[in-house]
Amino acid sequence: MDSLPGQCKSTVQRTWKSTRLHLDSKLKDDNKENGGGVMNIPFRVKKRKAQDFGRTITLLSSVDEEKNAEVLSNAEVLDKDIGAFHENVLSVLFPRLDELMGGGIFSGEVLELVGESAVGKTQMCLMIAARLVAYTNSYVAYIDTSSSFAPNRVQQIYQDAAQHVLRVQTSQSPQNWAGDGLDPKPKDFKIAFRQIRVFKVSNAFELNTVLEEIRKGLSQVKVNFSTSSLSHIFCQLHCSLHQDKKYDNLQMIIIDSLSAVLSPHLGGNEYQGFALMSETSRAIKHIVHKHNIAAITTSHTVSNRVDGLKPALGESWTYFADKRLSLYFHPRDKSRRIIAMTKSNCTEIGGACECRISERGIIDASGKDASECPQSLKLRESATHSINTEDEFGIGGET
Amino acid sequence: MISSLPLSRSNLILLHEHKFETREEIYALTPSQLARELEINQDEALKIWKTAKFGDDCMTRSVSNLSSTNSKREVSALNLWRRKARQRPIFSLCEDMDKMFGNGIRIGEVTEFCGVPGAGKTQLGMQIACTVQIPTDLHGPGGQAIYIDTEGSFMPRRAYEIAGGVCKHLRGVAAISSDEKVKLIILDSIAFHFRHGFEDNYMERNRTLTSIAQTLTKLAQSLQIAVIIMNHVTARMSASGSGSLTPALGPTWAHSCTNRVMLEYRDGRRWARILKSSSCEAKTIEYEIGSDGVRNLSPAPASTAGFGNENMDFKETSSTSSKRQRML
Repeated sequence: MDSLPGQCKSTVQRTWKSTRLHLDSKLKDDNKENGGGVMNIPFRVKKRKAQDFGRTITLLSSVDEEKNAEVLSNAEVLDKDIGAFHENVLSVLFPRLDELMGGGIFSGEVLELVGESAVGKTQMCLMIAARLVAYTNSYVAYIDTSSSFAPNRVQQIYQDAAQHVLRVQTSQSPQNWAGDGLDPKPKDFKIAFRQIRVFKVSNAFELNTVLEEIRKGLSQVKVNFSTSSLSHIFCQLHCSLHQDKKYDNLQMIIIDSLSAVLSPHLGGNEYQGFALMSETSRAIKHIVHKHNIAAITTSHTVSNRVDGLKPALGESWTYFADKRLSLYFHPRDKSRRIIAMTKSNCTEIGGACECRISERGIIDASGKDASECPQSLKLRESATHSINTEDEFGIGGET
Repeated sequence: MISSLPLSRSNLILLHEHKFETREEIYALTPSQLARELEINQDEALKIWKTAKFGDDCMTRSVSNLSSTNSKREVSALNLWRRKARQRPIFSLCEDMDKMFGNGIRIGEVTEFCGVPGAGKTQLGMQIACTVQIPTDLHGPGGQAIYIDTEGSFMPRRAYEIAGGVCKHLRGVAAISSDEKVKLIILDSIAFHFRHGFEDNYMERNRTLTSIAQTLTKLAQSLQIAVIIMNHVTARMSASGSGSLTPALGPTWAHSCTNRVMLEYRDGRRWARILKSSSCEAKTIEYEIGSDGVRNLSPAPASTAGFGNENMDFKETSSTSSKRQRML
């Protein structure tokens, strides 16, 4: 793996690249031992240090209750606030897809899954949740708007993931791992299932209420050791004793499906559509950026009467996510799917890979013909990312 | 933010005129202070105050109190798993179909059956409306069914026959007693009224359909009942010119139901195929419809081959139809 997806131009990404190469070589050996097509165990990488910022950077961040913006004006202040900033890369997908995404799912970012009905968006969400709780002790908030959370299916995927963890860990001694928080023994699924908190919502207002509740719970948590005032630290410790355990270690929020609750409010005589959309996107981004949590949302497509499909929430929603994966049915083989990266903030777009849905979740479909381009698929994208079929499914340049 | 609260347009404009911007500002006042400030009556002010305080739609809170508090809205996956394990499944008496769903018709989810006319949607609906009443002593759901008929296809005589078949299956166990709780809602069919009349206004149709789906999903989840919806099929022309049958009402409706089953009827045989489900894998099973209702495909007797079977099939259907004619 000597060439990475994307052009790493900035200082930040250069640092990341070198760290990644170091860990990649470590993981290459693991993959060799366990055979190809095996999932990576997630690792935590300290990706950015404030002293890498060579210039004065002005950062606006909103503190506390939305209204007051605090202006931080130079790298020293950044260092104080962001010095302890860890950005996690969660490799819970199959290797080819992780590569496509630049390592995996990044925390502090929003990933959007778009596709037709029954293409596998919910399966992807269930798989990500199951694997995350299998590999780590972190909590997942699963916001379910269409009662698609199926405990039995999650259990099935979890058993497989836990088996894999056991295999990997018995084949090498634990101190080789760069990460922390991995259990030395396989977890009973009942313990893991406590880490998944499912919120059932049925309309956009309830969704906003739930997001507000999560935000409030999280803002009571963080004991920020970078503040210099001792009394401040004591005060926060006191608060943290009383807060709910689930917000302690919340790593991911999954919303399935976001468009199902927002699309009824758009168009016609509906007067609240855009207000709701912006409120929801603001709430999600606030949580994601302030508390360094990964968010995954799903969105469906509707038919464009002329050709193909268009996103259900319209053009303006295409700017919401940091990364977007589009899922398609394989034009020739009904049992396979194609996942394409159609928007990204730090990797190259246009790459695609094939996959199948199996009892293990979504797995790589024997990558031999991964470079074939389905010519007949069309998807209207936003103006900045207008892609026609040839570009979208170009011969994958990744290794 | 005020604009994202479920308030009517006139109320939003009123609040904006009086310079209210956040929820906190509204519920910081008491309802009577709010009424004075906005110059509206007490009840309106109370409604606005409650909406600002609790955030979600006060109207729907009265529909199902179970989901009215935040704490009830959130469960751990473990509790969901346990709840699922404790559920009494709704059997349809067609074993293969029950196995296709895992353990019977799924409770707490909305299942859609689509198919050509004659595939057996209404038959299946009537049968499940009977089987849901199997008492809990016999490990059945023991509940009542609500059958919403939009196209006049419910035939009481046929339902009587099917109920007889269910009782026969239970080997003549006495009266089917049920508690007062409704455990099933059947909507036959959703497509009938929506296929025409919305030609120039697809957005309106989609919005109405989505809100129906949301209401039904919420009912299914909060009351832990099964909801079954029947749908028609329509032809979809692909680019190459060949057509294929696809469920009616378009892609927006496709996202609304949790599970989707396509019932096909060709060459005198009936097939059921899962199109969409979050927990069942895509399978196809064959079933048949007899005088007792929908059942598994009866195994072919080993002695008679080919022609003999077909004659038996024909005899059965002709006797059923003649029976029906006599009764009518």
